[in-house]
Amino acid sequence: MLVCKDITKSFGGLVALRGVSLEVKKGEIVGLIGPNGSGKTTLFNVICGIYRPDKGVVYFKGEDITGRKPYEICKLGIGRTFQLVKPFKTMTVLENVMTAILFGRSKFITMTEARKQALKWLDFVGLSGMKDKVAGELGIASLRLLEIARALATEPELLLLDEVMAGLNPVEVSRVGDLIERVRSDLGITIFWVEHVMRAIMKHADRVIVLDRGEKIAEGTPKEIAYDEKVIKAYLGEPYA
Amino acid sequence: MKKTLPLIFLFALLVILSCVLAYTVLKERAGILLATIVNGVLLGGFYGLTAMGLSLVLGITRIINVCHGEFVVLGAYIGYWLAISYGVNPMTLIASLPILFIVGLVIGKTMMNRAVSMGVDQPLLVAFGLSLCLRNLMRYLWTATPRGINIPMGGIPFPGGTYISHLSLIIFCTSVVGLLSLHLFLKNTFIGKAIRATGQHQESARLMGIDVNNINALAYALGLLLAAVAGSLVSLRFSFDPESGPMFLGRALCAIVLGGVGHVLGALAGGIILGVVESIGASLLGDVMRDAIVFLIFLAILLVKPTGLFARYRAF
Amino acid sequence: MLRAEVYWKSLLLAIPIASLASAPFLLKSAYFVHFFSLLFLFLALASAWNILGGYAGQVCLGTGAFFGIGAYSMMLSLKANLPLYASIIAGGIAASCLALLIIPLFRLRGIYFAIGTLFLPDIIRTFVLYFSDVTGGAMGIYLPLIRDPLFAYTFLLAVSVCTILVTHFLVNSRYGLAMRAIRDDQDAGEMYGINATKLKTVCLLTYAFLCGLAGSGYALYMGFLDPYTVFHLTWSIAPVFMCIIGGQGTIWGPIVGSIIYVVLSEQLTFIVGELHLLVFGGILIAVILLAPYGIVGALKRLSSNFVREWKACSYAKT
Repeated sequence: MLVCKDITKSFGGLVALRGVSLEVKKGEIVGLIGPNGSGKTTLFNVICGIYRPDKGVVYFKGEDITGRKPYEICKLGIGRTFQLVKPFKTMTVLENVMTAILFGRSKFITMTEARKQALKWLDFVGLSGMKDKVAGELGIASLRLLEIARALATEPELLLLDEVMAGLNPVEVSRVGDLIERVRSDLGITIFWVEHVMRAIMKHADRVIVLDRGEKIAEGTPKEIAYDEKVIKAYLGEPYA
Repeated sequence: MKKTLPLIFLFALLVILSCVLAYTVLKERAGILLATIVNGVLLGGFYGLTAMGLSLVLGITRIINVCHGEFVVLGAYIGYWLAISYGVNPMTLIASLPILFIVGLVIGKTMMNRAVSMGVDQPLLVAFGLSLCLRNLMRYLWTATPRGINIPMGGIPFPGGTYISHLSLIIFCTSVVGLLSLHLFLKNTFIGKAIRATGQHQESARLMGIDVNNINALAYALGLLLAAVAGSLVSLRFSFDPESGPMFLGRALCAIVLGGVGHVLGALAGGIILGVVESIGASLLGDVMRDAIVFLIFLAILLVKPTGLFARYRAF
Repeated sequence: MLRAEVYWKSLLLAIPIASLASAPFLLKSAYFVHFFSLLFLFLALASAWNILGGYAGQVCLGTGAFFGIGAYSMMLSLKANLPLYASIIAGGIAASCLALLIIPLFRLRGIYFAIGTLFLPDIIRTFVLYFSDVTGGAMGIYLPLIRDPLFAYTFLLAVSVCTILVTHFLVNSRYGLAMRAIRDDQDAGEMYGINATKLKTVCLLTYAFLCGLAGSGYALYMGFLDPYTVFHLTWSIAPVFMCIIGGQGTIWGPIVGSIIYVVLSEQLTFIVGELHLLVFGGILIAVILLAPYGIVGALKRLSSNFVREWKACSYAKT
């Protein structure tokens, strides 16, 4: 479904991504891990059209989407959550999701219909009780759920989750983990997931890709990469390999 | 610096080439064209000085101080009235500097710091309000009659029957000296470094123990100080009235977008380019188009290449 | 909103509008017509600015350019023997064309759009002065019709009502949600499908067209234009003042702001004479720093806080 070929991106003198190639197949949950600064969020930004890669191509469902604008990519079927949550702070939770519904899809939809669907999505993630709260007042757990609800509301075929568990306590981590599984099983959405909370990735991901300093250093099932020498070296250093 | 030198070289080369071309093409009028260009350069030096205060404030505090022009005019008025009463001498010219510096500190600490903490639009609107207040105040205090000091001074004769006035040369030299001293101040003194650090990254500067609020106010005050310097020179050469603010603001902004923000040499280079283009444009299209040429260039650069020619970093 | 709600709300609005429309004919007071014509003019400008500045979040400091170009275009169209209504619309269209030229400024951060528009009135004024044989230059240009204050009054009333209606429909539509979204977080908005540039462009063109219409109304009302008055800084500052004092991003904000502005500018000249602009500037700065949401904004916040406290208390009782 998603194919990245040889993505390279530098910012001035800093090379953030160096020839990264990977593939995410339909129906998978693929994890993307790596030490801080390895280029995970940059890769997401490139896929979503926020950055244009210096070299390389991004294919989505066979179509070249490299360098297209974010709102076009959203309408094509890629949804995304942000690492540092970006809610529309002065709008209510319901309005946040309605906005995503009204603009994130390629088909036209009326306001009343959008409202109904927004309520449905809030129900799916478990935020129905907060629908009239102003987004700026929510706590981090609810904000993360809102991010997911918004992304789902655009009816994506591929969902990019960027550190969606950061800052959550263990109970919330397992809740969100189950939610992500439901997204795949009930909605049939493919998931590409950056995460630092290893427990969650190891539990839910089918496959894991590891980046270090802008390069892909390993790929495989969670068990394989947990014992991979290169991965251990990247995270903990040489002596532990 | 290393990257900009070739650009400056290229620019100088272009100017020389165009002069040579002009000379061969319009032999009789080449002298006047050359004089226009030289006058443009001298004027440009002054524009660079005007721009520098604005550039400093913009680069360090990220405020577009749209009342900068009004402060230049205020400095001009102070210099003018002192000169009328006590004659033109270095003391009267320098008198406006401390006054505007203190005013800058007060405004910076009370209004601007608060405005900056509220958002991006607020400082601009506050400065807008200030420009309105200043204009009205100056008009009330000193009426709308245009003012100017006329110092009879000779000039250097130039081929074609024109001449380059000594006053223009003095102003140009003062501008360059002023800019160089600012550059040295920013580079070598402790406070200068603190200012540059705050301009580059406020959070890090704060962590290094720099009182960012005071430094921001200081940067604002320095901007007004430079406006005062420009103002003193204004009273010697131009005629001005309370509504002259936009004239200076426009040229300062234009010089900045041409030369890049926060870059001392860039402000000077931008000012010179602007001075030359304005002078040539005015001689071709008529004096009434002077302001419009400047504003149009400013708009054009914003639309086409907002980073400027010598930008060290992109503040946009 | 339910159908019934829409009906009785429109009726509620129609009453004051109808009374304002018929008032001059009943009262026969020249001062009334003068005062309210000015009020409607400024209200139109404030509401139009509110669309771009209050809702789309792009501060425009050059309203005078669009206003002036509308006024002059109407005059020149009349002189070219175009029918009256076509000339009026021509004013709006000319202002929109000017707006088209500055669309590339949206690529920059908001404040650079603001200063890009700052000198627009001066540029247009210079062109008006340059082509003085057509525009009358510094001497000004007269309306080739007999000046009819009542027609101007009615037209200005219509324009201001139109502007407010446009704001209302825009804000309550999906585009209202989109505008709030990109104002809160443009990157997130773009990621969820909102084309921010297109949205801002639509707001800009709407604003420009309405300012152009206001300019036409001004020309109709004054019967005479001269470049120094028409492109004066006041026309650029007034909408900013009105919207900030009244409250940006609200429908009642410009209404409150324009009333305050018109009343103040009449009264202040009596009280402080020469210094009235100084007072305006001072008020503007004070409001920006101390009450950034304006009067209507502050009231809204107070009332929502009050409602929340009240709800919390009533929950506590049960």
